[in-house]
Amino acid sequence: MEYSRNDLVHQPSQSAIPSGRWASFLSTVFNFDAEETKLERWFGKAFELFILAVSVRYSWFWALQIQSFQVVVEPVGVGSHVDLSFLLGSPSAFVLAGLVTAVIVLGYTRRWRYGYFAAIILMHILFAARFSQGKIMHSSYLAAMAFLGIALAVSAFDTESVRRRFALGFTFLFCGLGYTFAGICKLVGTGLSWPNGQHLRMWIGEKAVDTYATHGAVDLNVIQNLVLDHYELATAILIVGLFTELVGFLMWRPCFRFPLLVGLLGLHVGIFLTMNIVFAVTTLVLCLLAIPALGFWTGHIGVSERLALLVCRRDRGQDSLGAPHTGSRFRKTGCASLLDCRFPPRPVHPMPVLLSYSCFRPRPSGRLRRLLR
Amino acid sequence: MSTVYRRAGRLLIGTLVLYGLLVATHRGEFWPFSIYPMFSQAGQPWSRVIVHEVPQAWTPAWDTVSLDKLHGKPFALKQVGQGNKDISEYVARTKDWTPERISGLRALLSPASSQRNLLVIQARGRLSERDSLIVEHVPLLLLKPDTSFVHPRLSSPS
Repeated sequence: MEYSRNDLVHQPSQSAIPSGRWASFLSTVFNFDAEETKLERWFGKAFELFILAVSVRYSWFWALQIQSFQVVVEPVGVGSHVDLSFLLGSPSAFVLAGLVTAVIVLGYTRRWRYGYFAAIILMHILFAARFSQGKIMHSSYLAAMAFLGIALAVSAFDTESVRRRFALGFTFLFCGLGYTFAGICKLVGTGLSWPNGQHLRMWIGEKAVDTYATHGAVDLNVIQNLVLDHYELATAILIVGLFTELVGFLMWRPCFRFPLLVGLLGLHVGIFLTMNIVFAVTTLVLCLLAIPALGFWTGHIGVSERLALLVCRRDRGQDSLGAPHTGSRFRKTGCASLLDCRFPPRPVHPMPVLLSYSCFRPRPSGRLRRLLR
Repeated sequence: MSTVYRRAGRLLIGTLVLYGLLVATHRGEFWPFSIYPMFSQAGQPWSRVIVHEVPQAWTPAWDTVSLDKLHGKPFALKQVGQGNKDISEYVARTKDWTPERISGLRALLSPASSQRNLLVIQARGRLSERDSLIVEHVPLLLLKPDTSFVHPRLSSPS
């Protein structure tokens, strides 16, 4: 296989499709073999730009917040090993933020392959100084993991299409793992009684005090009042939230990504409505990830294929997929391939191949092309 | 397996190993790696800080009271560009209110701490035996522009 530093599509050989469980897992997560569509390319570039913009913003914002600190209360990260108090209340933090911006530009223009890694290390130092007051806020973590995926992709691969696929697969994988870790932490920290509705009431009280302290007044919304009045509703909300987090690891499989992302967005909406906590950047990243995740589903369910089949279906005793009424074949092309979650259903009629491909669905892989012959 | 997949696999395993090592040796947090322990300690008592502005002539009173009996009027922390979390953690983790610690708190509340009389109150929430939420408000410090007063049961500034 040949790679180029130019923006060429990675052209796999027929023998490149991996075998074995680990290889199959990697293929499912990263899907290097599928040809990249133009809109996938543009999405990948836009996603990278968004993550870089968010990272630059965080750097300068943290540098600004560090100005009002004087004392390290609880060292975190590299601050546990190196005294970062010299950054507190000092313009050095802005110098760091400027360096982060500079190396990000170098990395984006591909002048320095490891520019993104340098940015992550500098951002970590800023993070350790910013959150040295005892409380860590997790709003930046998802974007940071996406940034790490992009940094690994740029440094380890030469082809831009491979880089984009790796970064996206990495982001999906660690996004799901992060939420699963959060769910496990809750069960380890409290046990099976975590979804007790009283806990949500305590948190609502705590966040109400936060709102009062920050704004000078507090007014509970309809959802919060309902939760405070109905213990069962509070318990149900916590159970649904915990379950959504625990199954987050399934995001490594493309077929589960969109439903999980919808669930996680619902989780964050619920957190905002009950506890006034906004994960703005995390929510935006989840919304962006829903775009390629939805693209898999529109292709996988074969929305446009089904329409084409309905239009082009011949009256030969075929079912709606165009397959003859042999149950086993229908099961193979319908539910079985859906559970397979890797390749679109095998179309029987040739028209869908010509009419169907939605924006983000990759063109059929070599295996599917052989099936269609 | 192709080179691309092999390389991706190695990167994935390397990242996971590094993830595990760093969070295991740094109490679960090493940005951007984390075990995400938010809200994992459910049902535990909590404490938060609220700030009230009191008149110049107000005599410090350190009794634990309910919200409606707090002295002065609420001072919104957004006026000093601060979130409640940093100040709450700073106060909660301070055992001895030395001049350095009081100075750090003044820095967090600046410039208002050098212009107004601010009463720093700690709100403590817990579940009662009948599973209802009880919130008590304990005045901790009074920060005047030129001097500071600390709750008698905490360390006084020298």
